[in-house]
Amino acid sequence: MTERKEDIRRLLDRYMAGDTTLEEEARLADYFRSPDADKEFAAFRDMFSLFDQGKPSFSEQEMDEWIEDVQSPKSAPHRDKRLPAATPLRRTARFAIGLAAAASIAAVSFYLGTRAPGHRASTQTPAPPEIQTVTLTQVKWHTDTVYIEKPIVIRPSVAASSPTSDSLRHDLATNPQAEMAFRHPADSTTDNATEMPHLVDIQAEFDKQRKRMEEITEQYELIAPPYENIY
Amino acid sequence: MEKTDFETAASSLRAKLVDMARFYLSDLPEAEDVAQETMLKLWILRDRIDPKQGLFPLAAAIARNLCIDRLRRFKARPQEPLAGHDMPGGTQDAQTRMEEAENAAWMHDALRRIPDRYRAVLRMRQVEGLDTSEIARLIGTSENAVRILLSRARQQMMELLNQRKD
Repeated sequence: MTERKEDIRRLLDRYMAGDTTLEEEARLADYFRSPDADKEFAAFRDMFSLFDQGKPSFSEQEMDEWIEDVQSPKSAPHRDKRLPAATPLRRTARFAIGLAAAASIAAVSFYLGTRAPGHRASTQTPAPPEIQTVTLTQVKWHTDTVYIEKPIVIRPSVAASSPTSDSLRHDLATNPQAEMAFRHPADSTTDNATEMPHLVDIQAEFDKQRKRMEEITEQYELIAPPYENIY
Repeated sequence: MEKTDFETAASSLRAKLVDMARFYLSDLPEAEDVAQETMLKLWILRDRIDPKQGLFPLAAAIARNLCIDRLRRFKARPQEPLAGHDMPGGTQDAQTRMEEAENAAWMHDALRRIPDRYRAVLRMRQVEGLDTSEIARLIGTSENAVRILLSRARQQMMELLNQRKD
């Protein structure tokens, strides 16, 4: 008995390795069908009894699943019949898909619309620098407004350089009203310089400040095109 | 379809199927697996095969479905072994108290959890009683490959039965 059990055990090892012949497997099957099969091999007994029942088997449904693609041409007419009679669910689904398509088209066109100027800016050469210089200067000018409070000093040297200085000084001294009549539009600048000499100082100060601002603006980095990467 | 017809038609089919599966999976071992499983399934389906149409259309459809299955599985999660999963039927405690009818139902479900190719090869061997060399010829592989396939299929089945015993 134990001899036979050892024999069966050896056979089962080879069986599990897939090395047994059909005859050996028939012997095993016979052994497990007999009532004196050892309890130790209960699992094997169950397995062989399943084989005797014709298992493992495949259901029709499973086999249909494997070949559904081949069979679909045959069932195609049925599908066509079903198509026109759209159920309410299908209709809403179709509507929803249409809605989603329209929304996506709108979104894409909007995106392209916002994006297009940026594209043009990036393909162009950087924006002309003078435009930015002007903007910057103006901004700077507002913050750095110069208030000049200076006592008005009439300097003889400036006054003397002017050709009409003598007569002007005379007029200014004797008759202040005559000054207004004497003025010509042509030489208004020289007039300004002579009749209001403090303007010269203001002009000088203005030039000085503007020069300074230009120096400052040169230090600024040009970001061109602006905001290209910000969406 | 008769067995001899199947044999002659199957002899050149496997190589074609491997090529086709490689197109989908770009992995040779996987493609060979797919071809093998396709051949096994074709054998199970042989009664349904229209001799006029031949094997190839059916084989191509099965192989393509298998490839798509595999691609989906790769995408979703890495492959999981069958072992260590709870069988349908709930806790083990409940399983031990199952009556015979329930037991049979459980076994039916459990058997369906064995991969198709293992079930197919077990059926060829244990139910239809085909020789190893015959199986090899029918599915276009070597006898050694059939032995490995059989061994794995039997081990999976034993695993199932042992799980029920616990």
